[in-house]
Amino acid sequence: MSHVKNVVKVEMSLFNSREEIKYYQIDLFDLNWMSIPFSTTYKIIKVDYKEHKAFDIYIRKKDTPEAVYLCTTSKVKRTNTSRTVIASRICSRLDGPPA
Amino acid sequence: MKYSIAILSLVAFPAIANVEITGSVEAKCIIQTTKAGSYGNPIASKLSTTPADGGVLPIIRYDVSIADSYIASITHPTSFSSSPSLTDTLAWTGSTSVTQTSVAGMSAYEAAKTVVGNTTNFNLTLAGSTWFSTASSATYGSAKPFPGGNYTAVVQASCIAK
Repeated sequence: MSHVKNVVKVEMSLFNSREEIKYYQIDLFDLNWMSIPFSTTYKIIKVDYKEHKAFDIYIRKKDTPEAVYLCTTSKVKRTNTSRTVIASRICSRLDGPPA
Repeated sequence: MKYSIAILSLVAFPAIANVEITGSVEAKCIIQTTKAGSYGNPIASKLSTTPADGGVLPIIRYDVSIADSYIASITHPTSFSSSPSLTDTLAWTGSTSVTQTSVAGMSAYEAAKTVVGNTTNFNLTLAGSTWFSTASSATYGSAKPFPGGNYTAVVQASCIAK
């Protein structure tokens, strides 16, 4: 829980189902996919294959009405072959009614 | 996913009365790479993931545990993320298709897909697994041969809550 006035805390859990990926980036967007400021311990976090990792993000209360998409995007590594690599992004919505 | 809001107990935490809201988020969508794609080089000026061109189509699997809650949004490349130095223009083409489904009704995804620019969107109306393949092709300007080296391009696969 946030101990800072006018700051909202969101707890999130990330599961890495991709063996070739070790790092994920956290982003927060509004409905038009414009970035919303937030704070977290690490915006790029290491998650080993088949591992769950919980993390918290902190949003200013005044920004919460605009915060819609909370996304994690895989960070792809440079390779030495001619290939396509897949960057995966999972986005959860924050703008719905309380569950 | 929506996030839940809980009101803190002021009895339990009398010193933090200003902290009122917390929430948790857990997505019900998982993206996995079933097959990594690779580029074939059928002619000197072309790189393509199409099997007929010697390439391998990347296969992406989406698992959703809640029906009608997510959009699969897949963007084929329009640039190389790494390559030798290129001095001429590139012409890119690409497309994304449903290749396999775990539920018969998902076969309708292909006909219902929408394409906006380089991005193909699929409305994941059913719970279960869907496999998508993305074709990608790059042709070097004026039929020039690609310089030797390694070429990498990124397919962006997103699962976005509705």
